[in-house]
Amino acid sequence: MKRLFATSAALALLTGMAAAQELTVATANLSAYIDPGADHSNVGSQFYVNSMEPLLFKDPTSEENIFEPGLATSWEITSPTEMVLTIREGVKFHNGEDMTMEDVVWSLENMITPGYPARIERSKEFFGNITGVEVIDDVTLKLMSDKPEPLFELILAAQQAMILPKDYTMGLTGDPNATEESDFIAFRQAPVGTGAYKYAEFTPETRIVWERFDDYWGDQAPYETVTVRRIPELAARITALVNNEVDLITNVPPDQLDVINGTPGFKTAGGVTPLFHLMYFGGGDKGSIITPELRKAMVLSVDRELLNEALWGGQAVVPSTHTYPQYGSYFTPDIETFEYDLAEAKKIVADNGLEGTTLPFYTDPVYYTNGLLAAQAMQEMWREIGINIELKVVTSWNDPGTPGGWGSPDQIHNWSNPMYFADPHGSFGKMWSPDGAGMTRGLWDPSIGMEAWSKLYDAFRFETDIEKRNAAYEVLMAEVKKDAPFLVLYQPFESWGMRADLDWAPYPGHIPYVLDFRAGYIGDEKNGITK
Amino acid sequence: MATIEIQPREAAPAKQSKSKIWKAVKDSNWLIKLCFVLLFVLIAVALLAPVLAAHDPNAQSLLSRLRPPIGFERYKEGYFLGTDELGRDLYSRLLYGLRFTLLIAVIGSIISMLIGSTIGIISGYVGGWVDNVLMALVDIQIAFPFTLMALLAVAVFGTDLTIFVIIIGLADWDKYARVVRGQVLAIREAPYIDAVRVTGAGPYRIIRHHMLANIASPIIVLWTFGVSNVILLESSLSFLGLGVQPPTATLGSMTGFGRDYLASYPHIGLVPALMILVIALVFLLLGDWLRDTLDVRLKRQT
Repeated sequence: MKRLFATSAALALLTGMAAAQELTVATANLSAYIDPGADHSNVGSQFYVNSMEPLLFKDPTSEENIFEPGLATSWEITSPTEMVLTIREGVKFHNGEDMTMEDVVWSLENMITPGYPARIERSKEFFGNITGVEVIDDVTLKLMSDKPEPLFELILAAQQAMILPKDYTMGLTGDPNATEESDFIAFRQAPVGTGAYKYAEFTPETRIVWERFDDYWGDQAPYETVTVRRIPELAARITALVNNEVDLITNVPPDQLDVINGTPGFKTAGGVTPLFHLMYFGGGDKGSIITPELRKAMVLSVDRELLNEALWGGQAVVPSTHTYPQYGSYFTPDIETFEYDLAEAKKIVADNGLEGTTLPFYTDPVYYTNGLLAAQAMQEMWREIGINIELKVVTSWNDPGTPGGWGSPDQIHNWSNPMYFADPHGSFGKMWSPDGAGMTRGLWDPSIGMEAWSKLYDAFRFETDIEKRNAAYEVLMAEVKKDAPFLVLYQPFESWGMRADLDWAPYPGHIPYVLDFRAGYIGDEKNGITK
Repeated sequence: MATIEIQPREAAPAKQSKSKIWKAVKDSNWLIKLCFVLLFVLIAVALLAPVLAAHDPNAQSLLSRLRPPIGFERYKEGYFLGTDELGRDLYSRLLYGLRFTLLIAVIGSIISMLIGSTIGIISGYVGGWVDNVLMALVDIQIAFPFTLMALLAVAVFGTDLTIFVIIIGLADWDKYARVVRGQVLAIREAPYIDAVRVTGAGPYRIIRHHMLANIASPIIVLWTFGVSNVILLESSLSFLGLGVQPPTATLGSMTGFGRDYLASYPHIGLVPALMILVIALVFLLLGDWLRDTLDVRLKRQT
């Protein structure tokens, strides 16, 4: 057996030396489509940065918001509602065409007022305050907002603001001179960008092959090929790693770290992720069973510290409210929105005759690291207060129109609220502002009414004074506490397993789960790549 | 016309006297005796699960998860087979899992037997185009990958226990149908059946009173094989996450959830997997023995 291992290791070494620079990655989840403007999933965010680019880059190595030139070489905020940018010249798309001002304008306009329905949610969340673009000359562009916009740079550095090829996309189907819905649908399976790697193969939910893009305007990609395979089973992923079938694997929970770190030649990297796992109540108040009292009791009875201790070895972060340290001066850890109070929960259940209420809890078996375990643990915690949960473990957990899918009432569901950019509007706002994904999907009907919620939200969103803005956020959090529409569980401690000679870790300045294999962001001794 | 000699077939196995069965058990080898003991123990343990279990099978102690069985470092007092990924007592879950798995297997295989035998009898007795249509159905069932059908059914109807048992019940009927049809064809024209028909008996009476008893033995043998098949099917479907929903323990789902910990805490998956092995083996060996014992033709040769 030892000899067999030795031989295969030697073979692997030989083939490694002989072959081109290659990297193979096994992920737990893989996208069904590629469209940075429609996508906001944790799955999707893994696969954009290597191939598509926005006008501004955000330094991935820093938690602070440090912006760098991307497809724009310079920019200036000329007034609270206007930003002027200079577009980079000499940029080529993967299909060989030059990137022009037309592509930039077309890309932004298709986010500001999208004709493609799948982009409408993202448009509201990211570009809700942006009114339009104006071409000043061949390389100069002006972006305008309705209200004073303090977040111009963050919006333009987001995945949703990546620049796509106009002619190529319009030519995919139907009239090559018109932007049709079918063009975007076709683009999803044949994506083209300006990034360091081109998508050489995309098999939805199965495989992505990236190839080095030789005409890239920036530093050449370190690998000739990067292959991403989907291996949803954790045990199979770990086996693939330690058998040298893959070089890097995603989504390793803390209780498996010793297995990888204890195997010679392998290691793990990771940390607390800027993303919240949470549970929400389906259907808002439209449900017949889920009353505000029930929500309150259920939220109060979850011992999040125990979940952290048991499932994450205490390495996850349990927040007191919906806030991340990355927010800098807008980080508000003093607000107490989510509490554990079993006695109070039991009292609410008794006072309102809620005992014996039965609700389904929908979850995917593998989508969230420890997601199913957490659901089962909460099931026990709710049983403690007399609420019965029927777990529904289905991969169609989010599909609209299925029981448990988006918008269906009388159910509990797990979800995540990633930090899309380092501002409360980039996470809480992205999901729970009046235009946020949670609201669009009807997950919460604020008891003060949507109009009043809108007013409260705008008072926070567009405030520029730090203290006043934080005070306004505290008002929003008080509404969350009162209505208990969801419960933030924790920031998971996510890890990646890899060959010991790989120098890679997730970057704190990226949104969660980004697989960044561009020059300078990965080192690989075997392939002679230095960071 | 010669007189028809009405002669009952050799003693129908279903009517074998108790003492004969007992004698057969006594004459069997040690392995079969061990299987009988094991079967008895398994059934007793499954029935007595609530009494024998040390803990509520779903009660979690989250801070004591992933503890090893007795004799290993970090063993937790009172949890002698260790705890699972949520700190539940593996021993108690094993008992309840056994109970559930056996229940599903027995009900599922009875459904299979009833459907298959009915179709087989109709097919064999009626013959003609009915036979052709029913046997075509059997061919379709055999040709269709069953896991795919189970996946489809779960996708359409959801993961409900009743649906799961029905799906399990639909897995094996084709085998019964084929065998029973053959048996019915073999005795349909037998002189004693003709004799009964002459006395004016209708099809129901003929089948119920004169055929069933004579084809019971292959059905019983098939059923014992069927039970072990269904146990393995339950296990594979639950392993794939298509079966009984958590936190309910079945041997298959326990093995399924244990697979993530095979490298680090192998006891979680190994304990229920070994139990599956034991039950499936017991049923298979007993089925084999039953076939040898009940098959008159085999007996005559010895």
